Amino acid sequence: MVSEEFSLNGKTALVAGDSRFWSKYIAAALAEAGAYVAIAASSSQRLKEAAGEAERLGRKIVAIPTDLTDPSQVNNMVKQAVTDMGRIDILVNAADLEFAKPFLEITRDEWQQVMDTNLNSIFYSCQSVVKHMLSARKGRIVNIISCLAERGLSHGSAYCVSMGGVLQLTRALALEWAREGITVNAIGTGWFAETDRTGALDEDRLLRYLPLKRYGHPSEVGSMVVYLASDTTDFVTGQFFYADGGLMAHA
Amino acid sequence: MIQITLSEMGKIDILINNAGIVRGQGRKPIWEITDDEWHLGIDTNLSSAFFCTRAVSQHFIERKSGKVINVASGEGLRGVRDNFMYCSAKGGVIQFTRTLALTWAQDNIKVNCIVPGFVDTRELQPDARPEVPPEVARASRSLGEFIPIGRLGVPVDIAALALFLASDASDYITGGIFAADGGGLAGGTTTTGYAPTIPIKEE
Repeated sequence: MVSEEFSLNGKTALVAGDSRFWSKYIAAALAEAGAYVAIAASSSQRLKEAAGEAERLGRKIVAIPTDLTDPSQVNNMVKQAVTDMGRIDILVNAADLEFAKPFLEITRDEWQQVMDTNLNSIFYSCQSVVKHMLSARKGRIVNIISCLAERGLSHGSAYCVSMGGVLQLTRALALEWAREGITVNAIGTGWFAETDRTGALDEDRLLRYLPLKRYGHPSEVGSMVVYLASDTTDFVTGQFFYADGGLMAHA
Repeated sequence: MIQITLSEMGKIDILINNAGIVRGQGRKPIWEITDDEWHLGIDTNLSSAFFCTRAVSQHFIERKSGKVINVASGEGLRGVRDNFMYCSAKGGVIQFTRTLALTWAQDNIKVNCIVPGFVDTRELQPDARPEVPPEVARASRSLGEFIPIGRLGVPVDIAALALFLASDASDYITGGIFAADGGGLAGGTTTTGYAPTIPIKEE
């Protein structure tokens, strides 16, 4: 149950999905809070999982197969979401292509693919969705990124750059649309897994690096998305919230 | 202290607030920390910077010139378990720096902050034991692995930054927070400091 302040009853949300696991839990959390949810992803498996998770909660999700790296497909995705749901109140960008390699070994194709998926796709979806939000003079954009938007990681150059790009896009767009009723915020994720992997970590390192001593579960990001999508956050924009088990306070 | 310095040297161009103690901190739970211990930690690490700056402030304002260099710590930016006074005070030093910098921005007084990482200061402590106890050596080694550059800092790493911030070369710089930490604050989100190779997965 979601308390009234955070209720998304009557609202519509589009979750531009990822190739990991965020979107299904985010879509489910939004649906549970009362929103009418569409999810877009390139993989039919992801769409099926998300629909299944929502059905488990007695909700329905609109599935829109989309290659988020293709601007014309993204335009069609938004068109279809508006046709199905009437409008888009909430846009969640959850693109997250994991990639790591020593810098000198990264090919131009790999670099391009990471930027296309993690950064450019968000440029496309924001451009396409915000036209609708501007006419409504209200909107919520939540970008799911990694704490690596703010910290470096050796062999993580492409990923860190793409995430840092989205963080700065978040801040810049928040300012650009601050007086249009559209808020733009980002969530920084730390170490997450769908299944408990605590046992797999070396105990010393776990103590040293993860203050909560466990991985996060993607549903714990879903609840923060609901908060940032709710009407309680009209005054919150351009911010970067960590869901990281204390990692960034400490490491 | 300021009066003696002025009568010896005639003027003060540079104030470095470098007092700090970590002694006795981080060893016990919060309910066992006494008022005296709290005040000692806050007074030494934070209030001392306020007292020294206040004492020299009118001299700086009258001359329309001055450089204040505060020495904080990485622990003023990040938390450390059980290390209440040190972390709180050093975080305060960072905000004290910014507030002073803004207050005196029009008075040609520059205020900046150095954030040292882990620095091996044993060479500055003549009474330190000549032989390094094995547990200290072990801790230093693992610290070296954690620091991206692979070694602890040495005092001159910090002194060089202080020299720059004290010199005319930094005249346009105020309110800055400068780390000399071997890269420690740049990373720190993984246990190893580097990512395992993760290829792009085709769906």
